[in-house]
Amino acid sequence: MTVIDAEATPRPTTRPTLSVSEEWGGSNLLTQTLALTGRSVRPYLQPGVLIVTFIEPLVMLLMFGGVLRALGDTVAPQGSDLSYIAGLAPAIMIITSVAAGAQAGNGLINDLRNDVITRFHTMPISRFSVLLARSLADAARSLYQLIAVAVLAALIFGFNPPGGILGVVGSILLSLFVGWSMSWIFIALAAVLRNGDVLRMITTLCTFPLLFASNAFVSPESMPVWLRVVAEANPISYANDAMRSMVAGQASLTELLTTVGVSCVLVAVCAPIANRSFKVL
Amino acid sequence: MAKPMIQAVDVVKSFGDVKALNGVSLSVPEGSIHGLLGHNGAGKTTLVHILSTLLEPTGGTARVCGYDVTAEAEEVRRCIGLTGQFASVDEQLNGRENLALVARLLGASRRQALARANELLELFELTDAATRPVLQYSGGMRRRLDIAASLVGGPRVIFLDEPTTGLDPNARIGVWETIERLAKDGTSVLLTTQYLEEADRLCEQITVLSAGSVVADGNPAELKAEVGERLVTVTLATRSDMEAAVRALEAAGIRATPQESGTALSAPVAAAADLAVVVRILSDAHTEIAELAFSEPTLDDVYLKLTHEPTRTPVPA
Repeated sequence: MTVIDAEATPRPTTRPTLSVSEEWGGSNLLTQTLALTGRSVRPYLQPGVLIVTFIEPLVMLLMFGGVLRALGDTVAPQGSDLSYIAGLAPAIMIITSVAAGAQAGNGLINDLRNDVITRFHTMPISRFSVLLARSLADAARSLYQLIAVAVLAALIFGFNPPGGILGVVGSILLSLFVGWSMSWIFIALAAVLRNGDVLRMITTLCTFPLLFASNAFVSPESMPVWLRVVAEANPISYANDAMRSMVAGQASLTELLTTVGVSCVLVAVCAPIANRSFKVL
Repeated sequence: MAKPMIQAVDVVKSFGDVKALNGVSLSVPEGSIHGLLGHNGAGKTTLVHILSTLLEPTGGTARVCGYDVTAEAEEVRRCIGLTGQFASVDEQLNGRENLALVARLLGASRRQALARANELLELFELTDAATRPVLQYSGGMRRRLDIAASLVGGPRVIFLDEPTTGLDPNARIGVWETIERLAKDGTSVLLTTQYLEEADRLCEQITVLSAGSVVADGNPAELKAEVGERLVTVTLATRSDMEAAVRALEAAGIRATPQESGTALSAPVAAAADLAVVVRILSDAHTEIAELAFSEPTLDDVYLKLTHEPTRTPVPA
């Protein structure tokens, strides 16, 4: 009886008889990425953070909705009869997801300051999974904000575009993908620079032109020539066109493929750079 | 002697022009605790980082669990645990989630991960704090959780980089007991410390590093014998007893030196047990003792003796 009891509740030990590689057999990239994404998402789930994250798109909607409307109805695609808000909502969405993507760089810098990343680097796991998890955590935050934009636009401005729910969901997903692909620029920068101050300066320097030298708020026709060239080459402009078409119920496969293609190129270039530069020491 | 679980041969590490390690060799057999003793900047952490695959050596070879740390880093990572100088745990997660996360990353199922987390929480007396965010943990609790996290996979080798630095005495003793238990369970431990006392209490072998080089190695007794003296300092109740006290001690063959204060004297002794001898001699001489202090040789003494260099010198840049 005593023997059985002793076996039922073995004395805890610092070291199981089998080492873990034999007993648990290691984990795959999917498990690692999911487990690490769960960890990275955690700070975003605090009630206070959730509220602020929700207010961000609200402020942007109210601000841009009010300020830009005063400039006149310039953002709807040429020749379409989209309402002002139907033209603005995709722009707010793309701003939101690009801003979340830019945040991923800071997230990585914070992670590097946290010694838990050092532990991950001494474990038999893929280092890339740590970066992938970082990008996915910020994508998750972005998704929450994108849904907030759509819901708030509908509630406050009566956003009810011809493209219907399908067009809105399509825009959200495309915007999410573009923001996620752009997050790799900033993850790569963070991995290379490893310096929060420099990274923040570069992030601000990049995001402003990216957002404003695009067709998001003002149609490029009204810009000086040099700025128009930038705006027309800007990936955000492609994304914006594709999203506006979807919202208008006139989704264009060419626009979609171009946008997704540009985003894939971004990831293909930046992710390997990030992975190669990612060291803790 | 059991086969070495950690073996470093002539390990060199340079950062640009700075040589952090200048040909360091050591060997740690299975189930033993090896101390790496040295001041800040001596190269202890650099060596630990090389052995735990975080840094690549510039020269020499290092094998852990029989695998080369550069060529077979993945295999090395499967058999080691590292607890750094700063807690490598996620402050946002609670204690249980931290341990379960590590287990999941090592391939445990959710159920296995939770079971292992609970087992370790129990072992490290953290069960009551299991659901509290680590942000709210005390320094000692954090360190215990950190060590627990290093043990999730049952590593055969564990690196503890200054595991007691910054801990209060109680927490320090708790960590010491944990380390002793680890070795008893068959884990090989490489421990870095700045405290000779700690190395003396825990380690079977000690390697003393100074400015990236090994200046001594051996077991604690050998090392202390080399360094020599422990000191007993006696403060007398009455200043006028000094002469009698010194005379009585010297008659017994103990070299006593009056200190500048005029009320205290110090004398070298071989072991703590000799304190009783000093006390008996002084009481036989009818001198009253106000205060009695015993001091072990410190790392500073070791350095002074072994390197003849002024202590607390940073690595020359």
